[in-house]
Amino acid sequence: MTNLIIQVSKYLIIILMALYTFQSYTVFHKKDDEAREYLFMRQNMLMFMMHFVAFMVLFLNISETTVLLFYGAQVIYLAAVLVLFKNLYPLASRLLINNMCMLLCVGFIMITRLSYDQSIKQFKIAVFATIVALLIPVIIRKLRFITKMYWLYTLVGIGLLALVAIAARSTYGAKLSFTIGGISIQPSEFVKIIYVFAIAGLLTHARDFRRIVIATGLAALHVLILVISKDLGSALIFFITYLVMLFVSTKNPFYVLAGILSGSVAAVGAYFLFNHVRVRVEAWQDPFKDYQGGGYQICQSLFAISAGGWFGTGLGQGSPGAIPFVEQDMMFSAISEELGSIFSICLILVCMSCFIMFVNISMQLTNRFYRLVAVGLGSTYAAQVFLTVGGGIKLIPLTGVTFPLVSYGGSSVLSTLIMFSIVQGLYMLQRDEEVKSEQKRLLQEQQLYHQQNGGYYSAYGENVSYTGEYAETEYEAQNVSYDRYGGNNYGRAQGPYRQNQYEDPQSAYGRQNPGRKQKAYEDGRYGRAENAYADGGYGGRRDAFQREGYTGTQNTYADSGYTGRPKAYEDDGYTGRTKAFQDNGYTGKPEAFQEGGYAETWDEFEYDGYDGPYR
Amino acid sequence: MQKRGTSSNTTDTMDRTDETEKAPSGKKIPLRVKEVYFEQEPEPVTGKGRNTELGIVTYTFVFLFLLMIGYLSYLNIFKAEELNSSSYNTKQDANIDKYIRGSILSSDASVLAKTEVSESGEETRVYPYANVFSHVIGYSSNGKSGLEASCNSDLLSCHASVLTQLKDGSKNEKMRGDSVVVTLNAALQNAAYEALGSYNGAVVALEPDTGRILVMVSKPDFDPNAIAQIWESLITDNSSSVLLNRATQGLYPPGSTFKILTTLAYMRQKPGEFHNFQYDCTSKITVDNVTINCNNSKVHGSEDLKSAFAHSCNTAFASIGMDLDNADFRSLCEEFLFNRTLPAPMQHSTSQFNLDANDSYGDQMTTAIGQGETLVTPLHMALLTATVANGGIMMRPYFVDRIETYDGDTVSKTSPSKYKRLMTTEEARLLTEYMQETVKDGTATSLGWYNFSVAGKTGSAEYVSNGVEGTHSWFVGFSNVENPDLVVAVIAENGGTGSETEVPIAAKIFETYYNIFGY
Repeated sequence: MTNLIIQVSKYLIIILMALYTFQSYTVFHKKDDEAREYLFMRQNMLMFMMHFVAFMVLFLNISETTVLLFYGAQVIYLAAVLVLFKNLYPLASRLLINNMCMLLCVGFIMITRLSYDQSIKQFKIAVFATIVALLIPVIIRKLRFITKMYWLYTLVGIGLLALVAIAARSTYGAKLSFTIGGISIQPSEFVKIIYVFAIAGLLTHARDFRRIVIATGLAALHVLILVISKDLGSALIFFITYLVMLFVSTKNPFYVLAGILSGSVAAVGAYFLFNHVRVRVEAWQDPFKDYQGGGYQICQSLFAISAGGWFGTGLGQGSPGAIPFVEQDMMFSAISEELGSIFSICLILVCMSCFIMFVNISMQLTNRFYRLVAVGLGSTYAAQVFLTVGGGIKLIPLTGVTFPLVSYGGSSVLSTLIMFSIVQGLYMLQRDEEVKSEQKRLLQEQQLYHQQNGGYYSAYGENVSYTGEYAETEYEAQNVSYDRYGGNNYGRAQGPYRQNQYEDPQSAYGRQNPGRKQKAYEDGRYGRAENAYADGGYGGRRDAFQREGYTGTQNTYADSGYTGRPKAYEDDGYTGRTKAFQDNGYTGKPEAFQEGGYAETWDEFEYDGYDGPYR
Repeated sequence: MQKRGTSSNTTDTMDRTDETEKAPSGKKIPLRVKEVYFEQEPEPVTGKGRNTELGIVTYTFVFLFLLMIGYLSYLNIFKAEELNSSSYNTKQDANIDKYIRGSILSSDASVLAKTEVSESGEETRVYPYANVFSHVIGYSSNGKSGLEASCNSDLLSCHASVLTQLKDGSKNEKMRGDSVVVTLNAALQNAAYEALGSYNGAVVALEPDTGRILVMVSKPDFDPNAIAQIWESLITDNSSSVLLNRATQGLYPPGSTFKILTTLAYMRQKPGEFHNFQYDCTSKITVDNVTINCNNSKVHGSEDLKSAFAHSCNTAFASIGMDLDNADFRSLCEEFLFNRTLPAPMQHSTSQFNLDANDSYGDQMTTAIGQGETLVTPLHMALLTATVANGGIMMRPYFVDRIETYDGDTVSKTSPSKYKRLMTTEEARLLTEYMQETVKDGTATSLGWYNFSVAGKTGSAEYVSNGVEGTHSWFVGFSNVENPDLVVAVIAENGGTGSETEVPIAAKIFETYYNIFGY
């Protein structure tokens, strides 16, 4: 009977996982906010069902009532993560939260299967890590100065890695961790994040050649220390991440080519210089040659995958314990053995979905630093998945890194959760920014328009009633622009003049954007500030307006002019850049302005079909 | 100087004060402004194409993700079987607690290996045919060999229906593993085993058009039922290598059987001349101090290619060897899988052919008659003969006909598969004609008396082992020449001249085959 349940449940688990994975991708096609919400709920259901089936099987295998208690605790935990994120951060990406929980859930199942004691330890760490992770988005949103402390990050990062290289206890050849108060900490997991911030800072604030050389040198130093510590996996992750960030920042493919070239040279050098590199490569070329030695782990991993086949042996029916370090480095093979390769493929696809969301968020950001951070963290994540999975299946030499969120390892779980939360934080930040900048731009546009058309106040009085229909039409136009985050930024501000340009579906990225609040925009309301709109106020950030002097009442305008800087306005015109404005017009790009163009280049304008009043 | 980490509002204010302060004193304003500009929030990334790089990054990583999925699928589709049956793989042993090892059955429904469970639950592996199948079936304790090793994972998994499993499960019985039904024919194997008699050597018999192996005998043999008891003596015995499956791992000089390939090489290299080949055999040829003799110093006189082949005239073939281009000859032999791995799902040795472009006439002559450095396994020789019999197409040989659940439902079935066309139909036809002539009027005339037609080639391979000279005797051939049924390759170590020792063994196998299957 037990055997039957195990056999049936194994197919059930695969079906549930496959459905979940499928929905991680169909979500990109769902335009309707409600449909999307429904889909996310379904995903959660599927995850809990899978979790239930898996633990039923585990219970049949282990037959201890504590397993049931543990199961209950996990359900509560996973539900709490979902509920807390959803309610504390309604602007966060739900797909990313769901995927995060799914990966944690798969990890719990498999670690419980492999070692009950370790799974309890892992669970405790996950709870702690989640609490930390929940605070991260707030930190990202509130503490804006973190974007500027990159020199500090570099110092801390290199310092920590150097400390590890010099002082850390050596575990099986690699120097990885410290033990402080009974807890083993692997600093490289955290340095990964600090490193991404450091590189983002270095490459954001200057992109001249000198700065690139400095950044490259510092990145290389990180990598070098890691190679010396024999932590080849992390070294590779750092290297790949740097190349990606450099490419995104400079847009120069030659840097990447140069990077790959010098990386290859360094790799060949390392092969001949370091024995531990050579052992890994030889084990990859022919693991059976040194079966008892360097090839043993990879051989066992391959045996596990082939023993599992497409459908797996069923939970508890295989022998993944035969793979050395299975809970840390070889989780993927263990999962393949017992849950099957179809499940594993789904797992890879879920990771890919996470990565795509990381980059997607990066695409939506306009702040250069945050963009780099998002894509940097995304690359770190993707590279790590590639190294652990690719190593396990013998696609590439084995480097011994953890499977993020799935593997056993406190530092790994904590750092990955932080990583996910940072990206969530950035995502929310952008949402905030968008609202603010829309307001600002819109008003700037208004002002300029009216100035050029014979006086601000009269024009304003004629056309616009901020309390009445204007607010509505204005907003509608703007709503459309939210559809295409990837598009012309200036385009958004031109809303009132030319609406149909927004319907031009030019931006490839804009379309696949989940834009959570899109529907809300289309309905003419924005999030929680719905009433404000209905009342005729402009943004969701009423107070922001008030601070700047625009309260949605005519009086403020009449009294003090447009901005919250009445004096500047009266004196000089619009901005704080008094001189520039007087001399040349609005922007720091005098020619364009004089010619009548608002945008950075004429091309953009013309492309968008803008032929508004400036011309 | 500016402080880092202020909000943008205050930065704005500070810019202005900086400028006003510095304006009277310095010309460095532009530079300062620039600096201030960078220390401010960096300008937003906007505009068309701002995400191009991110797109490239995404596609690159997506490619890597898909590559992983692709490679994982590749492992499952093409590598899983090999990995599961790897001799290093101890995974399946974990299933010993769950499943009773399945049976191995012959194609004529005899049990070749089964596990008997005593009242107390003790399991014993039983091999009813004892020594007859010793190498090909192998053993499963003291390590594993033969089909016991290569089918290990099948024997230790259970595909019985859910209902059956439920029934057994409720009785708290261990599941019975699946049975492996092999292509081997017990009756034919028995006949071959008896026919080889006391000779050390090997017999391989297979169907040329399917690759199904019906017989694989290797001697000296052992009783797998008693493997535990005799293990020590088997592994300490260095002289006779009892555990070696000579059919697949024994490397022998092919002797005259190799003339099949020499003839083919000659046909290909001298397409205009081989029909008119003429040689006057005086029983002896000496070139560069190397002398080649015909068997029993027989003088064959004037002969064409066909009769030289049929009579296995060494001197004629030695002279052919000197006419051949060594490199072309070598590449032909390698095409026929010398120095290569055979397309066979079993452990085997690699046959060797070493003739280089600049090798001497002596080497050319000895190689052409199947001596020299050429070494071949009986399985390989059988495959070459099967290629001729099958009109030039080599089929992949196989043992496992199907996997069945213990109660007889088919789990999977092997279908014959083509390896490659290695010669044209015309070449195969000509070689068949020559091989038939060997039976009609050559070295294997004793095969001409039966109700079935046979085409074949004998061989006497001279060897020197520990200073003692000897002659292995070979026969390769197939029956029912028009539509070949069975290919047989036989080698008897130190069996003397092929026609005396081997031809009767082959005859016995062919005869038994037709007794079983009819004409």
